Amino acid sequence: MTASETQETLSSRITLLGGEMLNWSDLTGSSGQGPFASPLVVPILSQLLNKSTTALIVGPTAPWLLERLSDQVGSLDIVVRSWPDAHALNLRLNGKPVRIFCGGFEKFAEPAGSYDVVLAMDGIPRVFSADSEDLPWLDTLHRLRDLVKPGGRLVLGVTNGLGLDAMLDADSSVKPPTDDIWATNSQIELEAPAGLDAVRAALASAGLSTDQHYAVYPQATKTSLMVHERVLSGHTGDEVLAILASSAFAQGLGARPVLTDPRRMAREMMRHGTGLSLAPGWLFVTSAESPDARPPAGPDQGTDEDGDFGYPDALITDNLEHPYWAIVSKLSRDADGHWQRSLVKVGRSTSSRASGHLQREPSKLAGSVPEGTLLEEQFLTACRHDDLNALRRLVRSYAQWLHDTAELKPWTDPWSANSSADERLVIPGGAVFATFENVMYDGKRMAVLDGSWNTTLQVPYEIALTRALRRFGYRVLAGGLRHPWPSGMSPNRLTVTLASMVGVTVTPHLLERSARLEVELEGQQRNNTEAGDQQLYFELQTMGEQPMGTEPGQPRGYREALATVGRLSTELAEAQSQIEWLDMTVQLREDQLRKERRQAADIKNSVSFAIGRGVTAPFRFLFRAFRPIFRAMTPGAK
Amino acid sequence: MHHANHFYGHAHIMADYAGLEYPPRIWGYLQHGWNILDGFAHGTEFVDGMPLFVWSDGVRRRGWSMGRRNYYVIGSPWSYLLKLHPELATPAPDAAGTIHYPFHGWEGQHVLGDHGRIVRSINEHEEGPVTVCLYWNEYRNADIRHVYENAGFRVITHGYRGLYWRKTDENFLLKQLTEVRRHKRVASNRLSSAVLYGASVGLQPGVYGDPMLLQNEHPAFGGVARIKRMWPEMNLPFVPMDVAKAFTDTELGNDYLASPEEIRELFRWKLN
Repeated sequence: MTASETQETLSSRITLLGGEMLNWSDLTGSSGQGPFASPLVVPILSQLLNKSTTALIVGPTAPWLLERLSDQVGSLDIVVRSWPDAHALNLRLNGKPVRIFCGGFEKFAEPAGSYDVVLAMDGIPRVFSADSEDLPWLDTLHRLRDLVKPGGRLVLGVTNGLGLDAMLDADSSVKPPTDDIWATNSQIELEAPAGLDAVRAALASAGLSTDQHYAVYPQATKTSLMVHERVLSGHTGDEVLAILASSAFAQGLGARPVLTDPRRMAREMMRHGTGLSLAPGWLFVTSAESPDARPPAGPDQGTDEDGDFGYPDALITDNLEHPYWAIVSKLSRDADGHWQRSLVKVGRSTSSRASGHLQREPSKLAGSVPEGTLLEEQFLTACRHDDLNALRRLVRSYAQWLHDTAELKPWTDPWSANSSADERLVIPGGAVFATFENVMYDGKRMAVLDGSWNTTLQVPYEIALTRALRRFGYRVLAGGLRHPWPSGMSPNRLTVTLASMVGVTVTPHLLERSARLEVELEGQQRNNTEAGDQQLYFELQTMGEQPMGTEPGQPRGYREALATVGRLSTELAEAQSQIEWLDMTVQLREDQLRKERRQAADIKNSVSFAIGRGVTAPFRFLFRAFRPIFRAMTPGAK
Repeated sequence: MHHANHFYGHAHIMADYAGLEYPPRIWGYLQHGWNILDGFAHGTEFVDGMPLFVWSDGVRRRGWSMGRRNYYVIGSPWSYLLKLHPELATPAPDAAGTIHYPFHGWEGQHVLGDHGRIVRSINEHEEGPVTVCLYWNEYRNADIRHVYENAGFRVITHGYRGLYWRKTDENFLLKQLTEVRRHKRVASNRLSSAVLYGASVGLQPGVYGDPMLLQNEHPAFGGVARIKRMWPEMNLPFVPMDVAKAFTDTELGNDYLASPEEIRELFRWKLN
């Protein structure tokens, strides 16, 4: 008996379908892009499942999500293509009502109408293995539909080929292809039909009626924002959606090379009302036709305080990479366009958390989303227009607002050996997080957007202000965004410039302290190690001094890189013409000097000069002879 | 380049097809047998960037998922051999009976199993005269040979596949083709290259009996069980001819055959 056969007998819950991938894992992400993972689908799916539901889930899905779903259903069948994944899930889901099928989905032979609910959040292409015969997307959709009982549900994730993430990614389609992009038949379309209309038509042609439709961001498989179709369609320019999308893309795309600044583009996508068509993916909750026979569906346990969840306008989470700090919340927009936020319980997402000096209280997030525009956006707009006056006004308003929160307290520098306390203006812990990207400003009032963060550190007003300004400096310079200052500007230099507008003198000591504060807060949030903290501190201290745009990899966006090159070329040409002008001026002066020297020489060589010298010679002789006496008579001379 | 390129006279067939008298070294690795993983024996040491010439697209995909690149699907040398020998395009006039290939090992990996059980399974399924073709190392073993001879079977071997470019029987596959043409059925206890070869020229294939185990077979290949899960339709004593045709066309890469010019180009060969 071979090794695999031995394991096969041991893993009696695993059925091998054929074409299982033996040297592959979707769950660990070692072979591809990792499984579908998002806490946002939990409250949505919970409404479709109950203890009598028979469910099927296909495609790579995060084990924690499978575990959660398996607790809510009567039985759960899982189809994966990787043999190591099947084995890992078998161990992880021990004791749950689960069967695992491993191999190419085309060999999955359960009879039609076997399931109340079929879940394919990851979409269709990754249900097939390297050994699978290529099946068109549409055929697979029909196969999935067939597996659903009449009146049952199919939840399908669809990747948008023209999603913003695909458009922004600078290298996914050109870098050497990864192991998961094995060659497929060029005649058969494995991906979803092109465009939302085509996808909708495909669903309809498969006899599926769409009950709910969400657009997902910033990636189809790593979703941190879901917005309902009814909110997006036929709507333009929503500031809150723009902010949410912008921060989702900022967190989701990380440090990947991009074609242009993702935050800006995500914002513009929402502002232009193209959030639906440019979404990286869509999630459809559909019903197989025959609505009268729909099985009673309802959650067994409340997912919300009032148990009535429905399908909210938007769902959002943050810190997907650092789930300890994650909060899940739902948002709804009223008729006037005001947004209300409330918390959603997924695991411990509603409980307060603390680590080191950092705290997070989810309950502070609930309530109305502040009115106005993001302060950072107002700063960037002013920068884009070279409007120094507006910048001054904004910095002053912000500094005043921050100053108003502060009160005079005895303060001890936590990063100094000297423990003597002196009176300083100290701001409350929550205000430390009121940096530009987290403050809403409606022209009169400023309000913190995400007020759930707090710190136990006592932070003086100047340090908090310096940190906020420097963060903005990084944002402008690292993004390669337009600003009114010379391109050789460093973040620290920009901080000094901005602070001077409110009369605060930023010293190197203040910059150093703001870097330490950043390490305390950011480091803790990213769950950094001591070495990680040191690295962050080092980066802040050294990069803060360096002009950005000249460093390798900065700025990240190709468009911004081109703009930077253009700006540098202009400045170079300007510098060149300045040099030429200086050169010309110097030349002019030299010509003049030469002319005057010649005149002087002419005078020296003239007869009249010789006569004059002869006449004055005795006086000069006498003067030279008496010079020591004259010197002695002059006080202070030597 | 790699010595396995010369196994079974593959390099010689390709040279013949490309219009060369003797095979120069091939710039790359040539798949030397039907394969259910990346096209090559486990532990083959690959030089980065060298082309990998494989029979079928499935091999290429699996290899790609394992991190290998530079694949060229060109079909099997067997398919080229068929083009070279149109005189063997039809069965011999006296074709009859079954040619059976007990699953073979090689010098370094012996198969473990009971040849007596194979004889019993052959008697169970075959009616006409039976030829048993043993691999060279088993053929040399008189004990194994006698098991089959005593059962009344004709026992033959196609020759030695060669090792490190030495003693390769250049006409190995031609001998096999000639022999295959003299039968109506091809059978084995394991779905293997020989069954594919036979089936590809219209012999009715059959797979039955103790599949035997290859000594130290690497688990990455998944064993016989994996083959049976992948192609249940081929692991039958009597495989329908249309099923067999579709399977051999795919696995021998019959749609992927290259022209002599292209082979020369790919292998970096020059006409003398």
